[in-house]
Amino acid sequence: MLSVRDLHAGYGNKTVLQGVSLDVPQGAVIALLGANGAGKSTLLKSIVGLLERSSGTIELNGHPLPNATPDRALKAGVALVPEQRELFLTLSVEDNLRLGGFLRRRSHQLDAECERLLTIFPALRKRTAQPARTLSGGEQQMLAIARALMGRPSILLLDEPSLGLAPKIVEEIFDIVRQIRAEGTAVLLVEQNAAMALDVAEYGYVMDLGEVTMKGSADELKASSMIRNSYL
Amino acid sequence: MLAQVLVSSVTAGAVYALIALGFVLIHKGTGVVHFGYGDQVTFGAYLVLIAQMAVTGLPFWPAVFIALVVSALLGALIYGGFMWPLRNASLLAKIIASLALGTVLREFVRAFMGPNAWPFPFLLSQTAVPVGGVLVVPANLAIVGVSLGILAILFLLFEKTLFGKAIMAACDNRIGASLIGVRVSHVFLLIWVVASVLATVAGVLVAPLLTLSPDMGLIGIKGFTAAVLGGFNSLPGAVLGGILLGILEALVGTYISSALKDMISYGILIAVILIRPQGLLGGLLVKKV
Repeated sequence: MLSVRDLHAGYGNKTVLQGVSLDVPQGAVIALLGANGAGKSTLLKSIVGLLERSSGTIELNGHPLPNATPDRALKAGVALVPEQRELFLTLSVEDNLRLGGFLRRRSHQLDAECERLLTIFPALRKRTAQPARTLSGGEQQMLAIARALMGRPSILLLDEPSLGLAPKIVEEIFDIVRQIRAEGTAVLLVEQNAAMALDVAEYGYVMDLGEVTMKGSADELKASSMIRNSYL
Repeated sequence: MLAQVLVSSVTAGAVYALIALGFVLIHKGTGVVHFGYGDQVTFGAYLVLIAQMAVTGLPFWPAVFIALVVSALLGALIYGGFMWPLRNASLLAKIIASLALGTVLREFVRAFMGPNAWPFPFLLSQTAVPVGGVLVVPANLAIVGVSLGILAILFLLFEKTLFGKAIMAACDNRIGASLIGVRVSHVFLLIWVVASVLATVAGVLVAPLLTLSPDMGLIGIKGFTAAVLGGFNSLPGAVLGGILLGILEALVGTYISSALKDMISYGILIAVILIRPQGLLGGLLVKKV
C-alpha cells in the first residue's frame, strides 16, 4: 500500500536519508528499528511531508504523495504521531481531539468519531475539558495517537510511542497498536523497544546511518544474531 | 455622576479593547509585539479620507468599505512582504521591522496628508439623549456597539468553530497544526489580514473622538497597555483590559485631573509588569524548551 523508493532527504545541506526503500502493506504493522540518529524520524517526517525530500518517490495505493505538503498527505490517508507529540497544550483535550478531524470538518461526524476514540482511550474521557498540558506523559501519548486517528488514516506512522513511559502504560500503547490494526489501519512503528515491536509487527526494517541495512519477517529478525546483539 | 463617568468611559474602553485584541492576535500568531500597530490604526482612518479624495463625491460608508478592503490587502502585504521572509529571523529583527513599518505608515500620511489634524465624521449624532438619568451620546453608543459586535464575532469564531480552534492550534503549535492538515502560513496570513482590518475599524471609530493627525497612533500604547493588563495571550483578557483602562482613565480624568489621564495608562503598564506580569486573565507562560 505505502511504498517508499530510493528516498533522499535531510535538513538543509545535510542529507540524512541515503536512498531508503520500504513497503507497508495494507493493514499490517511494520517495525522500524535502528540506533538513535539512524534516520527513522527523518523518514517518517518526509513521508508525511513535514520535511522536503530531495529525491525518491513515495506512493500510497499507486498514487504518488506530493512533496512537503502535510495536509495533502493527510488527505491521502497518512498520519504521523511524532516523537514530540506536538499537542496543542493550551487547548482542551476535546479540542485537540476534534482538531484531529479538521480536514473532515462535518461536525456530526466529528462527534461520533470523538466518541469512538474515547471508547478506545477511556483514560481521556474524564479529562476532555482539561487543557492538554495537564495530562500525564502517557495520557499525552494517548491523546496524540487519538488525534491522529481522528483523520481516519489508512496508515499511521508512530514515532517512539513508548519513549519515557512506565512499563504498564507501554503495554497499553502496544495493545492499542494491535487494536488499530484490527480496525484495518496499517502502522509503521518506530521503536527503541525492539522486542515488543517485533512481537506486534509482522515484518521489520533495520536502519543505520540513513540506509536500510536489514529487513525480514519479525521472526527472522528476532532470530538474527545482529538484532539480538544490538537491540534485544 | 459616577454612572455618567462609567457610561462615557466605556466608549474609549471599547476602542482600547479592539486595539488590544489586534495586538494579542498578532502576538499569539507570530510571537511579535507589533509596535507599528497604532500607526496602522491611524493609517486606516486616513484611508477613508484618501478614498474620498481619490473619488470625488464618494459618500462616507463606501469610503469606509474601501478603506477596510485596502487595509486587508495591507495586512496581506505586511505578512507576505515582511513577516513571512522574517519568520526565521530573531525576535529583535521582527520587532524592529514592525516599528519601521509603523514609521513608514506614519510618515507617509504626514508627507501626503500634511501634519495637521483632519475633521472626521462620527458614525451617529453627537447630541446626547437622556436615558434613565444618564446622558447617552448616540455617536458613542455606535462606537461601543460596533466594538462589541466585532468582539462577539471573534469570540464565537474562536470558541465555537473548528476553524477558529484551528487558528488557535496554529498559534499554539505549528508542527502539530501542520500534522492535522492546517496550512499554518495561511493562518498567519489570515491573522495579519484580520488584525489590519481591526486596526482600520478602530481608526474609524476613534478618529472623531481624538483628532485625526499623523500622531494619533500613540493610541496604540493604550491598546498595548490594555493587552498587557489582560495578559497579552488572552483574547477575553484584552477586552477586559481595554474596558478597565477606559474606566480608570475616566475616573482619574473626572475626580483627579484630566491632565493626568494619559499618565495613568503608562503608570498602569509599569505597575502590571511589576506586580502581575501574567496580567489579569493570562495564565503563567510556560516556556517551551
